[in-house]
Amino acid sequence: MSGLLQICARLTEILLGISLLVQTAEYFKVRSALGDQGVWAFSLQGRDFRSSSLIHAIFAWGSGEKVFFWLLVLRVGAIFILFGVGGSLPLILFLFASGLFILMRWRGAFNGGSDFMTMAVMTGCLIAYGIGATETMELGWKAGLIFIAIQSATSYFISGGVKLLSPEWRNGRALPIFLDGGVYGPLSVHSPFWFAAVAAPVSWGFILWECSIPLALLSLNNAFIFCAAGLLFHTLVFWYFGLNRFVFAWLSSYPALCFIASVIGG
Amino acid sequence: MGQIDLTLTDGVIAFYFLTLVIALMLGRRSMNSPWLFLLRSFIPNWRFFHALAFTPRLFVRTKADGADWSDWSMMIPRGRRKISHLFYNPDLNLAMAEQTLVEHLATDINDLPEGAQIEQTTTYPMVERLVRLKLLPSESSRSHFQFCVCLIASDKPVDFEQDMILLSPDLVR
Repeated sequence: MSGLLQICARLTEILLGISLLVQTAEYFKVRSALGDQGVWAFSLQGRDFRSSSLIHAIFAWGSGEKVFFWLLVLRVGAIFILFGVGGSLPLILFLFASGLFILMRWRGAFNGGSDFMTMAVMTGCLIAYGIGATETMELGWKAGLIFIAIQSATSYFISGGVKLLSPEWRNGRALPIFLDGGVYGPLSVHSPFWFAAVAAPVSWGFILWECSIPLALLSLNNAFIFCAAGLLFHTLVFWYFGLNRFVFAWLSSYPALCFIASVIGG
Repeated sequence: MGQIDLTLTDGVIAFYFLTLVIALMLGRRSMNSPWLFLLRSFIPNWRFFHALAFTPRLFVRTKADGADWSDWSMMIPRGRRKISHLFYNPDLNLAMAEQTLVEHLATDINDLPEGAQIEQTTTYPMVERLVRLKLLPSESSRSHFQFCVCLIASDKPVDFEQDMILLSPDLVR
């Protein structure tokens, strides 16, 4: 494998590992919500699986409190192997399948967008090792990183595009209302975000930056600048909306963005 | 004047983002299949905070035997900001997942087929249990409770007459 491809592949694995570790540590703490007395108890949520008795039986077994606890322990072990020696097809398959199982127990998603991006990066790794098992790892990682980069670029472009089409985002009215109803709300009456003169430029900054993702793919330098701004953006989203998992989930897609930009831009 | 060289790759990238623009204009349809719903992490929705809309909120009230109902109290995920939450924020993430559950209940109410009962859905008993778990043990003398779901406009105070889309029966702890 070429030097840059190797670095991007390894960085993807390490950053994915950090993201999965943060998520798994949190799942340990909230697992009682999936237990017999919890809101997501299988006695209640099992209705989702009623159309397939086989899948219902698999999930009923996997939802036992001890089984679920040991599944999380195994995931931590697998994540440390990913850190230490890197991925392999069985390891990525286990992380992928167990991640999907956990998300389905949370009725498809626990934390929305961060789950989607984590699965996208994991799917990219699965593509890499799947192709690598029959062809070469070089071809596998190229395909995997292209997949991850497409998902990441699409996420920014769609997220920016829907805001661009919304008059409330364009005039700055949406930002304070989302902050007011958010987990750290209500927004203080003295907050500068209530003023359109502050909220509108901030909103436009987010919109233009998110929509500029096609430009980031044109050269490695552009990609570096975009990713640095992305880190700041996701940290702000964490600070104002409490979305900590988003930081690590999107960060793990950045090596793929940089790799694709280097291929396109040279 | 600088010369612009367009390659096939540039064309493919431009075409891809153009299709995204068209998809944005067409909007997004709701997901009706239960299996697609459970596997939606493969069909990502990247429309974060996209528009101001009516937000479903859960309200609870309690009463003791023979007494009047308390005022409605809104159950909304709130937390305190901490830098350490960047690496470990389970309680707030769980609270946000609970709010998502309330949003799914509102969707189920909206999509409920003619003649079907909301209690038969997966979401309703989960929300009922959520309310039971949130009831304060210190108020155990208030043995009855009721919950409702209201669709609230983001910039207006709640109007229970107009905004309520679901009212549970009088339930006992």
